Amino acid sequence: MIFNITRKELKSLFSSPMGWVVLALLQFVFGTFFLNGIEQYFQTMSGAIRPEQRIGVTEFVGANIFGIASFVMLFAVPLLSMRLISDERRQQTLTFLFSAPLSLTEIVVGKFLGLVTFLSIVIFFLAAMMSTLNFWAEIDFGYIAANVIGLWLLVASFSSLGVYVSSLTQQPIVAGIISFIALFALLLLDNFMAGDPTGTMSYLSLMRHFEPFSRGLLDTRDVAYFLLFIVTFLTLTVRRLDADRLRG
Amino acid sequence: MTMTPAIKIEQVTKDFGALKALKGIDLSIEQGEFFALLGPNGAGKSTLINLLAGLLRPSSGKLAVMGYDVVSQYAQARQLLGVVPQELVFDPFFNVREMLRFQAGYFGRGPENDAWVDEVIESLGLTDKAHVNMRRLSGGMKRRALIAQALAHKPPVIVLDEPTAGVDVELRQTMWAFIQRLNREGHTIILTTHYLEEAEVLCSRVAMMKSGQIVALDTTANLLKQIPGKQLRVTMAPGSVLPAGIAALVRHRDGDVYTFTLNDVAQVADVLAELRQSQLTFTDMQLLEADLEDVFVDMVGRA
Repeated sequence: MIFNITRKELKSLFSSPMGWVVLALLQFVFGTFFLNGIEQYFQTMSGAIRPEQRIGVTEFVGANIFGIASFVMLFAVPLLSMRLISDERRQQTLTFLFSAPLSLTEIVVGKFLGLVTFLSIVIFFLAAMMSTLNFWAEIDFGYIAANVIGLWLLVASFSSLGVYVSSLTQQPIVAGIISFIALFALLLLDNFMAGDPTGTMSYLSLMRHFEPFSRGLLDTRDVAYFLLFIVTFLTLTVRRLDADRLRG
Repeated sequence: MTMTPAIKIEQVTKDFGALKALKGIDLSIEQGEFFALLGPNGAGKSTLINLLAGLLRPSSGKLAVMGYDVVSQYAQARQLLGVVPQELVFDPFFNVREMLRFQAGYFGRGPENDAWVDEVIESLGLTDKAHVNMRRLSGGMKRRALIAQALAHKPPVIVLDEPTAGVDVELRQTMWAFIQRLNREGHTIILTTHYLEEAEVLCSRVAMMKSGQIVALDTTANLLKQIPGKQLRVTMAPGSVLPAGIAALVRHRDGDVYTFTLNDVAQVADVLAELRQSQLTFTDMQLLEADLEDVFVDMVGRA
């Protein structure tokens, strides 16, 4: 039944112009940065003679494209997550879900998975685009895999926060704006706390935990951080919806 | 062996802050009943339905659907219940068939349920609209789709919360024919409505609520017996002044139309004799039985 909710969310995204527009725009942005990255690679490498100046094409293009992807998702995820619960609340269609034999956890996880599946399609196309470099160069698939996992965990974290904010209001636009501000702050927390890079607040920055993945490093501490982040916000969403049922 | 009640409500209260929406409701509805839940706005009917559907949690007390507690055994209880909401709510991204299939999917029903979905679509006159987006349906069609949605998983207990509000006569007839058929097939139907004549014709038992309490609970026939005698409606000639002898019998006046409450049919002759003696003329006269509306006004007004 949980996958029925996921399927419905996915279908909703593809039934509205929003899903297609976001998908097209993201592919356009990533495609442009990918082509620019390749062009810049040839320009830079033609001037780099010493071996220590030369870096692989995977790292050169990958750093560019995965870096921009993490930033672009900051805008895309709130746009997609804002209506998940708030719109259902506004249109009073949540009653259909609440009166079905589904637990609140199943409802929340189903919606979350629907959004994450949509975003996984975006990441899949991104990884496929990077893999096309393999036709004319020997690329580092490990580096791409680490970046893909890191980006997936990052957007899943964005989505979990987006779902939670969406459960707080009836207005999708308000949910979108709050999600964006919250994600922006969490992403750049370590920049604000530059004076104390070892502090707790700095440690909470999403970008700080994404950065090792972007270097091709898969650290279980960062994976655990993202998973905890996701579980925390999904749990908060369940609690929020449960409070609705209690208070009426 | 006693049959498990379709709905069992025991000492249920629901508070919204200082407001006590339900004040200790006790109610048992047997399987196969066509039951009406009546009451003025704010009586607590929708709150009670929302508690049954799991949209709210009771402050105290227990509710069970076919013996399953709606809180601790919510999955089984909701599996057996279909609720038609009062508001015209719909998901704007899907057509009627898609919406019904998703709704059945929430209840764990897969493609094997499609035949039933098609039957519901046909029975409610939605065949032509099965592939039309919910947004493009008229109000009446949306109402039909909502009823179909509540029936998508073929629940044995169906709750209809004001299903005919703002609905045309044709749809009402189609809808009631289908609901009556479901009732004959063994489904328990619980209806809330402001159209008391519908409840009187369709329902075998009635509960009347006021201010979060049940003020009357009996069979429709017994409730109708509670209003004694008959009513005489007389349309008088303009400017007529009734003699004091019969003025005391007037229950209701609307312009020149007077409604008298009579304990006995023989009183008709007395009223007419008084009118003749006072040389008053009338243009129309009707002898009426007490209906559920009279009982409702009497019960709710008295409580």
